[in-house]
Amino acid sequence: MSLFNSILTSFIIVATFWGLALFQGKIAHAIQPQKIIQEVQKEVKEPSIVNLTKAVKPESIDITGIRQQVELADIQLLWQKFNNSTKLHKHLKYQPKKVYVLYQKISKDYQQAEVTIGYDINEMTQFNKHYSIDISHNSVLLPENKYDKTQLSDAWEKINHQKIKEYVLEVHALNQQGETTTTQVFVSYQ
Amino acid sequence: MDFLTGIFSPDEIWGIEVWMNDWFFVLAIGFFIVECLRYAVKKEFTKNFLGDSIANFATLGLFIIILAIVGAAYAGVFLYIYDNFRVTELPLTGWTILCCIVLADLAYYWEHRFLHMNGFGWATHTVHHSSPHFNISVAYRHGPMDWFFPLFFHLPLAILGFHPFIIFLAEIIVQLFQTLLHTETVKKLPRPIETLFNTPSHHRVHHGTNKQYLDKNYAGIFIIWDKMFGTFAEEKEPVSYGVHPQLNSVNPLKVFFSGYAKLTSRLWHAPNWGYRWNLLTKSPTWAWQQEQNLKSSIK
Ligand SMILES: [Zn+2]
Repeated sequence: MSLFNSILTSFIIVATFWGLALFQGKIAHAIQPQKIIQEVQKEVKEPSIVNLTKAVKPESIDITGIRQQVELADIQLLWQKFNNSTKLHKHLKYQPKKVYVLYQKISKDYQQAEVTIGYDINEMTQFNKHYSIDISHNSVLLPENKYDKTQLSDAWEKINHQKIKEYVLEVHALNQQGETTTTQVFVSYQ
Repeated sequence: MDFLTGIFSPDEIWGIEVWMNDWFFVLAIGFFIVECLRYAVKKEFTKNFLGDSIANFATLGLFIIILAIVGAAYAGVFLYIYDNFRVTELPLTGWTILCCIVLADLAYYWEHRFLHMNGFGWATHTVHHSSPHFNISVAYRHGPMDWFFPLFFHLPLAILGFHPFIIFLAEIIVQLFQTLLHTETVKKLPRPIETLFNTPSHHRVHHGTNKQYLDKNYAGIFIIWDKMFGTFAEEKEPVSYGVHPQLNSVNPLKVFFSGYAKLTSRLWHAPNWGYRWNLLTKSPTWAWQQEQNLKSSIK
């Protein structure tokens, strides 16, 4: 091969492997759905009506991560703990698509809550504990969009204080680098 | 699949690099002792071999001193380019590492070919080639500017979005893979390996001064680059190692600076500026042939 052709070929090889690295998430997902289908089929074979309905229409999300009673002003500390949890991140199947922040047992003055930060268990290869979130009758506080911190905390003011709150749920969609692209906030009353 | 898709932290990757470099050195020393025993049995353990091996490790020591001085700047350039000029950001996964190893190996091929193709690059790379022996210690025989040229060939990877630590890891893997190729103890490996990978046999050819072996087999890990780009030669006749002209010294300082000393003297004695230009931009084989022609015309 001439020098010119060799260099040209090299650029094509670079583009190819760069592309492979760039679209690894999509490639992993392309492999993944088959697995899920197989799992669903397995579930269907078992004569369990509960499993069947679950597979058809998800009414709950199962997340795994860390849970702690915190002062809401110190939530950053829990995020740090979550981000440094190598044990959790090691068991991710791929770059996670969403991170969930669940606020429960919210105190009347909104100073404290039991907070869970975690990933959907479907994105994990392995997990210890998981928490189920009933999403069948929650209402949207903030529709999916890009928000800053103050916008997010302002959303809490839209909560109906007359009703008893079961949870507030933040769903952050993540890009390939794990940065939040958009957020949704839901509230669920008892 | 866990390794491919699990996410690493930059610290973890850095840890892997340090760990690999250190333990590989221990492994290489073990292998070198085996080689020494083999030469002793074959009664080829000569004074020159011993002196040459000591010089090899001495150049490694000198090289490490230089690295300690420029290492941070080297890493800094990568981080700066990555932070300011990357066009994408690739996640720190095993999959990314595998892609980066292939590309770093291709970058290494071109860098290595570049070092052989002009007097400027050859001045540092000649150190690695000037030993008349071929054993593991030669793998650690470095020239003073061996850290400099990889920069330009690997920097584009940072622009493409590979994290610098992943690039360094890939560079180290390409380097370590070659370390164990510097041996005469392994003749030929099974056919599929010889077809795909760089092997001791292929790399002996690279170190040869035999005419048909000159400027061949630049590969790091994958020999397919040479086969694709037409720089491959199969090991057939026994290889005679070294450079044209032979260095004939085991003095570590002479060995370490020989390339620059030679280049300076050639530039000094050059008949004209065109010749000087050619000394810098043409293959060192060209310079050697000119000198041979001159010698025979004087006779
Ligand atoms: Zn070389």
